[in-house]
Amino acid sequence: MRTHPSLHPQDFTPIWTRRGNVRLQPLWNPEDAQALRSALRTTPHTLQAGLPEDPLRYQYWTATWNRDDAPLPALAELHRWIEQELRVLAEQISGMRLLSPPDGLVMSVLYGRGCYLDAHNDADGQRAVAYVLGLTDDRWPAEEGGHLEFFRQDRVVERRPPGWNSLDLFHVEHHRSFVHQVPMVTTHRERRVIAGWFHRA
Amino acid sequence: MTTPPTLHPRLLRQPPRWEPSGLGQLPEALAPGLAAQLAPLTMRLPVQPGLADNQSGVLWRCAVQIPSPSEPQHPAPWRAARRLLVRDLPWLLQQMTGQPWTPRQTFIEAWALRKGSGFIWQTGEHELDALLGLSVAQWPDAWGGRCNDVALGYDRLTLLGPVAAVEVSLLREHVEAWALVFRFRQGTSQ
Repeated sequence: MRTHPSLHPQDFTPIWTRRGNVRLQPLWNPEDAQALRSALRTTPHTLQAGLPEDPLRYQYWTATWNRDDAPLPALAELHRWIEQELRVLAEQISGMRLLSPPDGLVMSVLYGRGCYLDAHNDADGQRAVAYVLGLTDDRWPAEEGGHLEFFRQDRVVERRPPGWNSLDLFHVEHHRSFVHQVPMVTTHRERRVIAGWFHRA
Repeated sequence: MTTPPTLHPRLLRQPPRWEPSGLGQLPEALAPGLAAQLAPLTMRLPVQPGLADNQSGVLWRCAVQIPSPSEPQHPAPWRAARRLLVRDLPWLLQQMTGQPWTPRQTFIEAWALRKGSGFIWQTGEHELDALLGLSVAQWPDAWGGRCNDVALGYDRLTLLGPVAAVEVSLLREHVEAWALVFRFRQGTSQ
């Protein structure tokens, strides 16, 4: 798995410094993105949904794996790429020294019809930077849901469509965290992402 | 221990005619007071999210294993639900359709619609489902959770006849609809 040769992290540092939130595209060589998406499509995902009493409500399908139990070689390679290359890329853009979370899990998330993630803040005292790797080779209007929305003071200030071969990075420490949501996908679409966080070293 | 009749006296006196469309709705279906007893028990059941049988979408559900009539440990409303499954609904359906019906499962299903639920509810050949709505909450049509544009309702039976399909529309807000579903097949018990 190779990072796209046109991607220069230093180009994005000013945007990060100004906004703490950035999208990079293309992320990988196109054939790597295609191979990864194919691997994810053959990997079983499990339906997850929050209970009414949970502080955060959501519905989506996930598959998770660690470096030792990836269901396919392509997903083991993705795990390595995230822990090594993506972490370094995120460090170069954010200027922070970062670590992978202790659980070492990589999570694939599939949003189909009816799936959503309510507005929340990822900050938990340990997470510093959130990443979303976009593997959605389709486009649809925001009215059909599934776009990543960022809030400021209870108002949506940015609506980002599902990305293909893309990386969204955003700050999740308490003082600069972004409240965000994924509104419900109301049509038969397939939003695929790999989502996770890095901690401060 | 005798469980009293579970259907509304009106239905016992004059069962309605079967809808040729395959989808029928009977408001005020249960004996007075029974829905009020069943609803709180149903809403405490440990439903889990999953795909509908035909993979058409998501609903929350669980199986309710019903006690035998001689088991006094279970709350009376569950004994009434058992009577609905094995006796009163088969009787009503036979009156309506002119055909005998028998439970095709030894349990009742509890269904809950929550935000993100929506699927195609369908029956196979010689199958009939009876859905007992037990939701007091009401909301606008645009929020979804409707069965052919009609709320599952409270104390309302929705009957889906053989080889029929109906959309349960995608529920878009944080509200809940609950129901008990009794599933039958044509014929007599063996």
